[in-house]
Amino acid sequence: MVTKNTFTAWLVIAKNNIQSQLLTRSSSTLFIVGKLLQFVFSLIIINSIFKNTGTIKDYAQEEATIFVLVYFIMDSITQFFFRAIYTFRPVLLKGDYDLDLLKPLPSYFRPLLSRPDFFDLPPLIIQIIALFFFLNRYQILITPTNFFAFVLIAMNGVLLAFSVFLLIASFSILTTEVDNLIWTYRSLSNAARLPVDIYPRFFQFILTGIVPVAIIITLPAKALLGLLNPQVLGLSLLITIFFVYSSVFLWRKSLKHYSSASS
Amino acid sequence: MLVSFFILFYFWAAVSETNQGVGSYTRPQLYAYFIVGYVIRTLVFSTRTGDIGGAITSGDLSKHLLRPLSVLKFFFTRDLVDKLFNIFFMIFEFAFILFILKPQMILPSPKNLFYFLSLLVLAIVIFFFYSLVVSLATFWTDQAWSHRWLFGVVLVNIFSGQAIPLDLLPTPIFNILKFTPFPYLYYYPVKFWIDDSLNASFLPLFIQSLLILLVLFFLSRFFWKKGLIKYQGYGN
Amino acid sequence: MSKTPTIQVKNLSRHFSVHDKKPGLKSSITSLFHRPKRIVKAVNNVSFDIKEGELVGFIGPNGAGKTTTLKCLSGLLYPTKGKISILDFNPWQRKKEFLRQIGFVMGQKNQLWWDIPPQETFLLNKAIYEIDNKAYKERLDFLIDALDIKKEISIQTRKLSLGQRMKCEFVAALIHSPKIVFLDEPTIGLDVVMQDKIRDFIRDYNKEFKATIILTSHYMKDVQALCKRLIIIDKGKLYYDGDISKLKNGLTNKKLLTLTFKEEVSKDKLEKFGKLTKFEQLRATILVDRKKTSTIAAQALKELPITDLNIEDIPLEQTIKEVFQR
Repeated sequence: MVTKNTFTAWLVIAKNNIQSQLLTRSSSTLFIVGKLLQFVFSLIIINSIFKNTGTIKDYAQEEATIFVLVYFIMDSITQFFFRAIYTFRPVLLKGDYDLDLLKPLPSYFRPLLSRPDFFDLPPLIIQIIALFFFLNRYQILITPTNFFAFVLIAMNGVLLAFSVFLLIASFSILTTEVDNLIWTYRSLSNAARLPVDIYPRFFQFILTGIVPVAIIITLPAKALLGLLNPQVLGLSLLITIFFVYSSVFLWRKSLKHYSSASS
Repeated sequence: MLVSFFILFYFWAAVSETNQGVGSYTRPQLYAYFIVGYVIRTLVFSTRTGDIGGAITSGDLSKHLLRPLSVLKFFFTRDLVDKLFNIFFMIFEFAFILFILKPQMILPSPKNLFYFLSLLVLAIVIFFFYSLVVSLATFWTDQAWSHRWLFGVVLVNIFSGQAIPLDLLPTPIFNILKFTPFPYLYYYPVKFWIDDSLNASFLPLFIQSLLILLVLFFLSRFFWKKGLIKYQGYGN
Repeated sequence: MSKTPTIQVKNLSRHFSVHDKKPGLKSSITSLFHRPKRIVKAVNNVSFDIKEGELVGFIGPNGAGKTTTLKCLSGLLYPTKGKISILDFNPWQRKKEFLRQIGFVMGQKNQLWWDIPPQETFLLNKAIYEIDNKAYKERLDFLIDALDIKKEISIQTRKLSLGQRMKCEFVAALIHSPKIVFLDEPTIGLDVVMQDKIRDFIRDYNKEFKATIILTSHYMKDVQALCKRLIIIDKGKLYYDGDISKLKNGLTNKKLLTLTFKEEVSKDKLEKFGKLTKFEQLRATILVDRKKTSTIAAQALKELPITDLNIEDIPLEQTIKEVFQR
């Protein structure tokens, strides 16, 4: 679905965004400081808890730390790519989305891909470095297979996040609520900073099947640590396929609704 | 709000399962820490002072200035009314939470309840002036959102104790935090609900809260005066 | 070149269903259970053809269905009934090859990115439409020159005036050399000078590139100055489709006679010549039959103390006003 002109258009937009974000130096510094504080404090919390408890359910401190790191990495990646969803509603309300639909671009370009946020990149780089630092410090050996699986499953996670955001974009066309949906997603993804199997069953179900943050965030970490079992993996892939299809289906529906509702 | 509460709750339920507690905290204490904390979050951290920041950047502040009433009093009253409404809705949410979770939760003695309530009232006022100061800083920055996000949201969320009881953090961090407004917004009030270990130091803590409030109060007055001169100087 | 019309519209209808709601709490509650639906026929059985290179004016009062028709033509709206064929495409399928050949300027919406200079949006469109460097440069130079916006394109869009922004919107919509251009109220809100400039541009553009252009406007002047052919719709129905000059004659067989007098003349004396539309102390305007114009003029010259006499067609604007008031 992504063609050459979509890609070059994205590059042009990305270049523009870097330029204008570099202009606002003070606010970008504050934003990046905030992101890093959240990141470091999260690690401190995990560390403090383990000092007092020794384990969280079956997980050791080393594993939990890796989970938190992967959570931040996946969060930064999805925020970087799909930031545009936060500003889609005003575009819809003003009717400017009409003009986007007249262009030979995929219709999801504007609501999802049109605002890559480069404030998320410096934190992302630091988080990736931190991941390697901790892997090394804990002497966790990553086999090539595990690493390869991690990359693949992380990409699967980005695809799944894409369809979740596409669902949110559809809802924002069909209803007018969208902010609440995004924040609910963000809150729930918070829960996935630790492996979801520490939670009660029904909560696990919500985090896997309804708002699949577990597959987006926890699963890549499991793959990296080699904790993945084939059944979970298979189920997760099925859920991803389901989400991709249903989001595309609902998106088409909502586009049709959009074109029949406006005058 | 409710969603993020449930996430915190389940997180701490899982964390405390193995040892039936974390550090010096028993499970009922931890549950109380976050459930009562939910009440604090809806009462203390609900404020619309952020609007002032927005009004400063958009120039809408002039509209407020033209009205024959003090802008700050207007915002304070509006916040109070909002909070009264919040109490009303919170009763239902609170009942819902208790009904769903049926948690073992610790209840305070009348004395501790009094301590809790008096610190809670102070916390509400402290946070009003804290976020007022943060909003008023917009007079000197162009982009309003980034510093309000960092100082008004991130720091408050991290350091007030909403995510973890602060005394579980490394001691040096906790000691530094005592000199900031943050622990007085959440951690100390709720601490008096869940145990009486701090009862002896209630008065010093109360006075410390008052001092912080005074500092923030005068700081906001100062910012407001200086800021208005700058704002009107531009002729917006 | 090709003999089939570029744009073919056959029996196009577009209906909307709207929910009626009376004000008040009571009706809010009842509407929870039963919401009366009403079908609005925004476009009702409209047909027309447009040939390559034509510049057609598309007018009608507010809510007549102009924008709806344009949206159907561009593929934004799915027609309820009827068939549209543009360059042998069905617009609703939104094929890439189709979208590459159309351009749309909407007076009230913008495609320029707010925080960056217009030229960055142009570059974005260059990427989207895959225009090669040479063609892009030639095209851009031409448009910049024609619209006289050399400086403006490197200023942040938000800092431009409405007129400057509109010119840049034109560049953004035309940079990919569309064969078919939809202009929906492109001069709305602009001052008279700017309206003139935009008008000149549209005329030249049509001549130079043989692009097919459909223009809707509130301003009769736009249409009068630019279009030979006029399509009028009202309440979703096609009211008139044809030559603009024929409309002048066709709709009214009257002319306006303006007289200036030496001294005051009584009303009665004037009314026998025809319908008095304007009457001031030393000036009067009379509506007279087209055919009898010269005889009436001669008669008036004989009977009245006239210092000046002027015969003219009724302005189109007025003609159309009369049409819609009927």
